[in-house]
Amino acid sequence: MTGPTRDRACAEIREAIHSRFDVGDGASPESRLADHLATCTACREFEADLRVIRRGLASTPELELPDAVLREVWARTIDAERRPTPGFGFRWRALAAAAALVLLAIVGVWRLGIPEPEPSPQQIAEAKRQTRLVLQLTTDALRRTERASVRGVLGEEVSPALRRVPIRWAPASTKQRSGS
Amino acid sequence: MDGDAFERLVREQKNRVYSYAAMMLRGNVEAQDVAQEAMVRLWQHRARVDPAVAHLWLRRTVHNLCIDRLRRCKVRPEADVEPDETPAPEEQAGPQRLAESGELRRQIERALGQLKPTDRAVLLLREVQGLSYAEMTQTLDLPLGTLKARLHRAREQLRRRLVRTGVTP
Repeated sequence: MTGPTRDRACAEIREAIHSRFDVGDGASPESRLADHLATCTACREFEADLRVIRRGLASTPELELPDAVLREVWARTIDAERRPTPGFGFRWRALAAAAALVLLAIVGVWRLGIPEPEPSPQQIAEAKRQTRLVLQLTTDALRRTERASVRGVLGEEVSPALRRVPIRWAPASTKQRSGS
Repeated sequence: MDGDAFERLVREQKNRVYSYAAMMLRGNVEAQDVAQEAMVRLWQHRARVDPAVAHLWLRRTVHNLCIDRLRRCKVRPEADVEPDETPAPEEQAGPQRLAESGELRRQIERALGQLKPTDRAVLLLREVQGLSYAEMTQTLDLPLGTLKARLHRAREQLRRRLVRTGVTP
């Protein structure tokens, strides 16, 4: 048997070799397999290689899961289930704490004050008008106060003193009167 | 499944699932995370899991978590990279000596890490952990024909890699 025919036979036999390793899962007839292996070096080597590889894999040691990891598993599973659930007293304490926090928040906002809204353009214009009016009134009051003060100085408070002081009044010249 | 049954199952399977995850992920720390997460998920879903196949449910969860992690890393450990560890001819030991010294097993494990995760999975479950085809179909959720084809391909891939690195069994 040579060429493509042999190649096909080898391919089939290799499938049979695979299957022989999976005994109980559909093994092919042993006699055909044995006959071919007896004459085909390549397939014999193939089978021998797989035997060694499988032996090597089977001898791989099993790792030990660290205890710390296992403890973490228990903590997240069985132990978490066994932890006692919060009772009646705990719930009321939690509610009271929440109510206290809400009250504190309300008081805090009240003390800090609620920021006033921005004034409208009309309010700004009215405020300007009132400010100008106040300024005008204040200016008038100051002028009246000044005149009153001057009158007071020259007329009332000072006039008694002026009466006691002799004053020679000489009419000023035009030039002097104009202030030059 | 009650707490006692869960505890019994975890104690029976913990090392097996951890070892599987470690060989899939090629790292012990990630494997510990995966093993822990799978056990916790089993607890969370215990009402829906049939106790008779809870061990397979656990294995499938571990397998899926491993595949997810490998996809997220987007690293296929040397799967498409030609191995560059060809020893010099004078350093190549015969297969018998390698087998005796444990070096062959180390070379096999190294070549195993270079396979695609799906191929690595079938070899680990079948050759290392000794699952039957029926258990493997339930664990991997694959039809029997696909499973056999994948297993046969994985064995040949592994052999080819070992031959390429000069470790001819």
